[in-house]
Amino acid sequence: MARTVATPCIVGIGQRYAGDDGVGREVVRELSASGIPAQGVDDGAGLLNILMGGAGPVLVIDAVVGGGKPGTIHVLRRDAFDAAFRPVSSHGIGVLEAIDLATRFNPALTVTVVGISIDPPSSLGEGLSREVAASVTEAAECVRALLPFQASVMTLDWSSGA
Amino acid sequence: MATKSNGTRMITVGELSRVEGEGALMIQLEGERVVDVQLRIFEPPRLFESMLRGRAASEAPDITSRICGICPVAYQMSACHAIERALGVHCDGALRDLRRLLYCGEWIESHVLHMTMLHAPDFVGVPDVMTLSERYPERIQGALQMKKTGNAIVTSLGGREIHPINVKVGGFYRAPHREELRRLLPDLKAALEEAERLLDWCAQFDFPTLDREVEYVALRHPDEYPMNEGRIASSRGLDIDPMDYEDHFVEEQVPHSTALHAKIVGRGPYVCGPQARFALNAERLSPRAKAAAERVGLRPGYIDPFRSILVRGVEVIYALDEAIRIIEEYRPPSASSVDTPPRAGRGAAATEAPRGILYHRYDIDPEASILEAKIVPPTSQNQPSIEDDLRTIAPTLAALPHNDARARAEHAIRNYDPCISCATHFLRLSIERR
Repeated sequence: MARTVATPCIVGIGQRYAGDDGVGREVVRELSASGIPAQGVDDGAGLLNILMGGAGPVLVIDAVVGGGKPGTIHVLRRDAFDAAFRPVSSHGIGVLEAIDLATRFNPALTVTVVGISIDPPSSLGEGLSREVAASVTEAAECVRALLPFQASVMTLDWSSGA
Repeated sequence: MATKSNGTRMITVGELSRVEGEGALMIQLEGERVVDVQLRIFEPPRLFESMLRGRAASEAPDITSRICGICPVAYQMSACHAIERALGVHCDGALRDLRRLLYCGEWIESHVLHMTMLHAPDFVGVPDVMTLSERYPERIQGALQMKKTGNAIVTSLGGREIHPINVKVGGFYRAPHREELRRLLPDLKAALEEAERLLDWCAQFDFPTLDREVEYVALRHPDEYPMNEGRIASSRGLDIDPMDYEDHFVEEQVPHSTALHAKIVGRGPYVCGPQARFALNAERLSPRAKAAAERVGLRPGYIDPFRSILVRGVEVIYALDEAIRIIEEYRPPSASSVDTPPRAGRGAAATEAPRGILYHRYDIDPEASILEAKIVPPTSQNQPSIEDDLRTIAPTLAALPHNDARARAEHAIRNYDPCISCATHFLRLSIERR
């Protein structure tokens, strides 16, 4: 059956002055430089703004604590977060809360998360650690690889295992 | 709860949730007597102060807006006003109105988020907004729509939903056409009706009580409820130009926190934020907001911090009302910004962030590079008062079971909508009992 193909909305989450927490924004920068539209937000509240903006597939890129050594890349299902991963958020409305709240009122919304493992941030500062910086290009590649998949099976929620 | 060998009992509560960030709180009790209260917070703005040195003054609004994802407009506005003061320029007319409209958008977004997603769960007795949304789906859905309306204002004026990129020292890079703003009116009017329903819903909560002497500090403007401009006034007679802030307020280092505690010289802690704004400016609310305040029993004077959610509700109504007024009267300016020729100088400004006064001061050289920056966020100013509130209710906490004590302490902290990305990190609560 023919299906309307929607362009996924790509959102990188991170605070550029909070060290490795900013990796989502760095991936957005790399994607944008290669002509793929993507936007950066600081936190779950910013993500919620975007998720409330419409339906369709959303691809979120965010730092996660857990899941291996810094720089390890994961394509995550929603339920994976509770067990092994903790998205990095310094705000009351976290990334998961934003996703859960938006999907509660907008069931057509589908969200896939590309997570990049980092150590828990302990201080503020510009720039990524060597290990996490080295993963940015690979994470951008992962996002590119997901794009046709995401667009063609847009009704799938929480795809897993890249 | 744990009992130490010296007879001290300790309750460890873990991270405080539903505050804009995380921090730590310790309450030490001997019987019902409070021995000590320490709110431990980490303060990123101090790092930004050093980051700003040597940067062009024109970069300050964008750099400082990164301090907080919830109130970037406040940081941009305080930075713009302070630098413009140093440069000896001033925005008025339509540019001034547009800045006020932008601030309305941020108040709507921030207050609605705090009221419904962070604070209301305390009153209803549920752990989080997801649970709240199962019980009151219409309120949360309405709140999300209101928040979206605030986002739309920020997007229309700022160029995007968060960290507006259209704001500059001297005004805007581009001023909107009249029709661009008028398109927002239907949603703003619908949001205004929803804001009334939200306030009435909140007014039915069962409010704990907290009664103590406080000094309120807020901006006061002769003609309007304060956002961008005004003198710094207090409920005990302070009335100063923001340029004189550092002569009247002092920041003290405390051993238990990396955040500085702001106090009034010779007097001590004070409260800023919605309660202070309302206490000092209630007569400057719009008729509709004033009527809403009266309906839910708010009067100028002391406002129990547990009722601060109602003041936020009134301010949401005001911000929507004011946004509609500004848009209906808007005529595009002849230029989107005023000239800002460089010169050496010092400029200070305070604006009303959703959480209270946000003070910026910049010293700049003849090329308009920043020599020194000072930023005092509202949460640092309220931190000593939050501790005083906790001292006041500590005997009540001591009598409560562990989980209830934790919930009440967190509730008391959330009364101030503390922004930990502005002023704190990692909040854990422990109560020591002897």
